[in-house]
Amino acid sequence: MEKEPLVNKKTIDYLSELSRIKITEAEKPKLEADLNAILNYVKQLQEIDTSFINLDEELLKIKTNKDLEYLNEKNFDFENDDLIDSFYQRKDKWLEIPPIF
Amino acid sequence: MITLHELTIKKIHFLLTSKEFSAFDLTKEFFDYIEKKDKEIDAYKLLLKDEALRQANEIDKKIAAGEEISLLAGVPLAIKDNILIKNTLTTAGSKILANYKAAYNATAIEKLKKQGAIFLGKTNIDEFAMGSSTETSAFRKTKNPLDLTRVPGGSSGGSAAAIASHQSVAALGSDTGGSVRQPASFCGLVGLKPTYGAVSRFGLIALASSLDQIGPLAKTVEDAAILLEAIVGKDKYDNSSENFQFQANSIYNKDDLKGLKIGIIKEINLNSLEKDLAIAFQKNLKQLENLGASIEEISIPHLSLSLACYYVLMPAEASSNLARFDGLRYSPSDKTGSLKDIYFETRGEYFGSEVKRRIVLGTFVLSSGYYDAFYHKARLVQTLIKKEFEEVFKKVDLIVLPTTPTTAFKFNEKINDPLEMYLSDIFTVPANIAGLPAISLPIYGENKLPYGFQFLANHFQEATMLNAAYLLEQSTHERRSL
Repeated sequence: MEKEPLVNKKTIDYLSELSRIKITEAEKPKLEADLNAILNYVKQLQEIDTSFINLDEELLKIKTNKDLEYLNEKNFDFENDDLIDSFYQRKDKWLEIPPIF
Repeated sequence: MITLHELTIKKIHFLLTSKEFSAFDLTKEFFDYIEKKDKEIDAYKLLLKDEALRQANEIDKKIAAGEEISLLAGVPLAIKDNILIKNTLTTAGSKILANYKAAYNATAIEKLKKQGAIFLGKTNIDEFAMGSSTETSAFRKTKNPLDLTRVPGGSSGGSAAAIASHQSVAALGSDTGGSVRQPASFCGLVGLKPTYGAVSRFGLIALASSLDQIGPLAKTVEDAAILLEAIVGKDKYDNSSENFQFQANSIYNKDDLKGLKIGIIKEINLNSLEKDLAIAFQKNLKQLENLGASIEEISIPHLSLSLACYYVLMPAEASSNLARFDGLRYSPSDKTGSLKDIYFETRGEYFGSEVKRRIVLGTFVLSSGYYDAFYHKARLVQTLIKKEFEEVFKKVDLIVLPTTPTTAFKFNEKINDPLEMYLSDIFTVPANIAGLPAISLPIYGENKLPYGFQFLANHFQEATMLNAAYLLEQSTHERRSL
């Protein structure tokens, strides 16, 4: 018996919305088929027993930079102005965007 | 007369310091050649001629003044177009960044600049480094210099093609799932992916932040080692970077491989490989034994699942990393309307189909209802694979395997079947999934096109890995003149 595919046309519309990408009607059938093929391939992961893996333990091993030097703007050698200059529409030092409300 | 195809970094250094030619003449010679040659290859997206010649002049002044210059001073390099060079167009192969000028230098660029390296130009790439053939670039189709009907590999295909066609001495690429090693293999070059954290990712346009590494492509192991030494180290702008030092001279540490244990992976059945690849691989394995290494079979039971893990984790991270390309920042969009309209229209029109596919796939595996079954599960299996490598590296020093299952394929052979394209990364992805360093060397069977011979080492064991790679390279004379 053929199983229901994971992705159908409705899923594509939903994912388009979530990812903020316009997907044309012409693009949809191929995208749907490709996603199902890829998901069918990666689905083999679900058959693997990982019950003895503790991901929290693994995450704790990742060292963190305690002094958070990288977050301190004073340590930046480059000018914020260079970044701000790259905004194509700006008001003073702010990026100007269309109204949200 | 400068013969471009014979140049290596040390040769250039010797010829510059002995005043055989000037850095200016050398750089000029490269641009003259590129202007003719690149019409056929399309390796470069952008040339940086004025700035490069100006830099070369600076080096010449230092030489004239009798100042000591570093090994990389005056050495022409190509840079993948997802690595930022300040005030220079950086497109990442995408229309969405068609007009983006970098506001700062990547740390790797900053380090090379300090050494006096010359940047010839930015090389073509698969859009946002998503691809294995450089065919997803929005701008041009880079040809494999060894056979113009074939792809150069990807995503650092422009960097590889530039070197293989002698339009650069060496280059920087980036490797998320094989994007340095696979094009190196397809173009007959050396490609090195450092340990995750060895090289700062600051200024590398992110694909999958937990997997990305900048790495060198070169004609020789020695050149790759010199570049690696220049770009490694802790960087305050990249919290995942490590305080790691590498000495290029360590590749000469030992003259043989006596006492070195090399593992071949049981799960990769050599008989199932293309016959020509099996021949080439066995020949080099034998050579490692001749050099004194002991070869033993090891097992990474879940190795084959690396690719499945990769095609969950990478798109998940990409979907998040690429959210910043919204049509408002980085490169102006011509779309109007509400904020949401601008997002939809810009991303819909200016992202190519592979990028859209991966963002949508990443969005799916992170979405409520599928997160546990896909993303979380992939993280668990990734951890399992990491542990298996950990165990194996208690027994052996290095692991060897092919870089790619085939030689360079033809244009359009895989571009319409994403899964088929993804499968060409099957031997390169494990190093990224486990964060390990890896290097690919060119090897040949009976066909004229090269395959790649890949070494993997434990984290930060680049010195041992490159020493072995150097000895193999020197002993086999496999490196054919391109």
